[in-house]
Amino acid sequence: MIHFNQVSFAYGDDQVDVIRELDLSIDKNEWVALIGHNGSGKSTAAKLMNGLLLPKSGKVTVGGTELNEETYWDIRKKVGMVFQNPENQFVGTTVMDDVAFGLENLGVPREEMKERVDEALYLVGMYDYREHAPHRLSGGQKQRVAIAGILAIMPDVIIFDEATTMLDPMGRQELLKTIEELREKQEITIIYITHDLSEAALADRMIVMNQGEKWLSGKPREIFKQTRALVEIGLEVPFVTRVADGMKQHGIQLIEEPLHYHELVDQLWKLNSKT
Amino acid sequence: MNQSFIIGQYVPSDSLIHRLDPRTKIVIVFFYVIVTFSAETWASYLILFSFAGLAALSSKIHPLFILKGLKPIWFIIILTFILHLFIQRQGNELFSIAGYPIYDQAIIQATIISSRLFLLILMTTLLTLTTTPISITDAVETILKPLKKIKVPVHEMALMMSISLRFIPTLLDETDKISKAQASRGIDFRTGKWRDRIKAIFALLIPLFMSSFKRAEELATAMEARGYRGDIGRTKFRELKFTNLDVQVFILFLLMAAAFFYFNN
Amino acid sequence: MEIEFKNVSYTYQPNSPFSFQALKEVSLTIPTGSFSAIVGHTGSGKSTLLQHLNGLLRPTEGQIQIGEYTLAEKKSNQIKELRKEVGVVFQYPEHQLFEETVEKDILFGPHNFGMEVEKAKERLPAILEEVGLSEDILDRSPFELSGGQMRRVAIAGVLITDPKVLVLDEPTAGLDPKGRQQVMALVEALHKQKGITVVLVTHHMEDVLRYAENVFVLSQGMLAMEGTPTNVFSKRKELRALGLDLPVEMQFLEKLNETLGLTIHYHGQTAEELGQEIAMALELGGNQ
Repeated sequence: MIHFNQVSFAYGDDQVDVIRELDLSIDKNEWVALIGHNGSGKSTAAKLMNGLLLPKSGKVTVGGTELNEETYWDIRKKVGMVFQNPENQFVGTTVMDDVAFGLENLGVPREEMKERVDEALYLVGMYDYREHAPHRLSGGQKQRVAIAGILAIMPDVIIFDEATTMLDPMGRQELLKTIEELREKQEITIIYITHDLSEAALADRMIVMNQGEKWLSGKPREIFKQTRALVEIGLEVPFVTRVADGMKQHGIQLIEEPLHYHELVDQLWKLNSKT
Repeated sequence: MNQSFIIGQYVPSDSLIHRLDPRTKIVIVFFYVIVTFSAETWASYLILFSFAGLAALSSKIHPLFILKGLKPIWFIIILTFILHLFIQRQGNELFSIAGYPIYDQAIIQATIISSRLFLLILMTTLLTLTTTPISITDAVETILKPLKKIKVPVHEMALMMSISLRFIPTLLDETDKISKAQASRGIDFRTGKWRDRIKAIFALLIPLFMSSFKRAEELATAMEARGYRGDIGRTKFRELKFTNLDVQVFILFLLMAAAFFYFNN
Repeated sequence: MEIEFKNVSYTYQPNSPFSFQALKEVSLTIPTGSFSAIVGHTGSGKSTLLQHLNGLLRPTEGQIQIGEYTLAEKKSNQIKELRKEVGVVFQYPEHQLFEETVEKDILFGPHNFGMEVEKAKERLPAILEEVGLSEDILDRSPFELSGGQMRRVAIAGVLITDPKVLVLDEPTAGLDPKGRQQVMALVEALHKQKGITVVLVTHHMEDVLRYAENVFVLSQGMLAMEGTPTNVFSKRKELRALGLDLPVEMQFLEKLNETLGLTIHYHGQTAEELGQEIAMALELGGNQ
């Protein structure tokens, strides 16, 4: 779906490259978590995926189309983006108006627009709030509206650029649940940018960025095994991984790397009942 | 904020006036104001007052609420009345207050001027009480559409208006937060030396500007990511629709205008 | 300084159709030199309570005793002194920076409180070291710093007045894991080394468990629970009824003990130690 071929990017001619010769390949309907500390280049990489930025060198293709000055409007139709601050991406004076914004930009006829707005609001469970003004919504609800605004355009890819960072625990759960439900209902590629490894564990694959380069890539279980490498680049190792490490030091052979404490308890139960 | 002050506020309801197309309301208020300024006879004032009264009643907003809400304006109206009473020196002297002579023409003039002021404010207030700010923006955009031909950025101006409306609560919140943060650092917005007070205002305004710039930048990125490229090939979600009701109200207004001009001579 | 709330209620816009009671008869005591956490949902009254700690809001009923200062409905003229003693770090404190240079911004508080600015200046190097910034940052504009640096400058601007009580509202919001850990380490050091009374408002139950000595749980403007973190977190049913989660450590132990019939308790172990303890309890592995 999205391919990066030796992509480099700098924010000015005299600036250092924040993305360095990056190769990436993201499949259709894959859920990929892009992780790294602040300044690792993960958000820049995201902006290169929907043409908010254009590469300095190398090639970015989205769904077979190469990204350049002629194509970026088309690419933005295919790749939607949910940003960090729920407040600063809400354009409309009501929920409905905000969801319609993208459709208005594309020149969708009004009758069709109404249907697509309603449909998108149903998908994220915000239909009952369609006439609410933004200041009457919680952060999590605003982010769901942002998702609806993108779904209405019917893109192939949604990028979440640290979309949970400013939410409280409830808002976070709300948003993650919305994404999981969405994946069950329809085909969509998800790129999830975060520095929270436990949220990243929900993805099919993790790509760890460091200083503009791809540092590690693999299934969450494989990445979680490499705790030292993660600590080295300033990421926090999830609690369950650290407990598992303590057990390994004590000589316990786990069947597989646990992603969640439920998995660890289940494994321990199995191991325990064998002896 | 003074809660009894209602100018610019919207009161939700589904009254006849609320259901009117905002363009109808704006056009009528516009011509009503022009007509008001040409009123010369008592009969024509009676017609104007009846029309305004009818509009106020059919808005389903309690008349007392409207009159009370106009409290700060009453002061201006009464002041206008008194000023004219003393300034005008035509006609016959009727009596004098504290040595100042009062003429009959002055009473008439003062009544006329303050009536006009009252009607003008009443009608515009009725407009904002029954129409959401965003509908007003939409209506103004459509009414001004012809100006696009002479390169007036009508769409951009309307978008700016609607985004400003959308961010007013956000900015009020932000102002509250920043002033509290600075108050915690010992700033006093109310007392102190002039120099310190000016500094206090800067301590509030600079962070507010900085964060607004950041918001504007992020909002622009988000809008661009959602395919916004100005007015090119854009459709509109909000639709303004004239209904039979609008036609009827227009006819009523024309009848009133006809009666007005008939009795104004 | 001890902080005592006596039957404190607070109503926003009283006697109006918009009137809203955000605090209802809250009574609580925050002991001198303690590390206390305040938790609760968004909208539970946390932020209203916080704003009472330095008199930004005054109770509409009841009163608050903070050291020698009394806050009640009547306006007090000692508010400035109180604000000097109780430093508040708001959520996203970097939003309050406004001066041309970092130095001026940090010294803004001392200037307002009528402290000797020269003396405060002498303290600058020490404060910068505490918050983990280097001295060459002083001449720079706060607006060209990174988000994490800006936050530390803002915290330094509160610490420079040498407050006896430090109130922090979600000080780690929006930071990456490394930044979060640094800020929490700073708060812990201030508490342990300088004996500052710390009041932390947070959503991170893990931080409460790890750092706090007392925890107050607010719900719908009322004090729903209070006690030590281990104590409060052991009442999991009550907590969940309030819509709050246990820290991940407790969630894990709860599930583990239930499933495997163990009785392992949390008493401040690291995750790795916990792993070893469990391994020993299960007598699995056993090469040691």
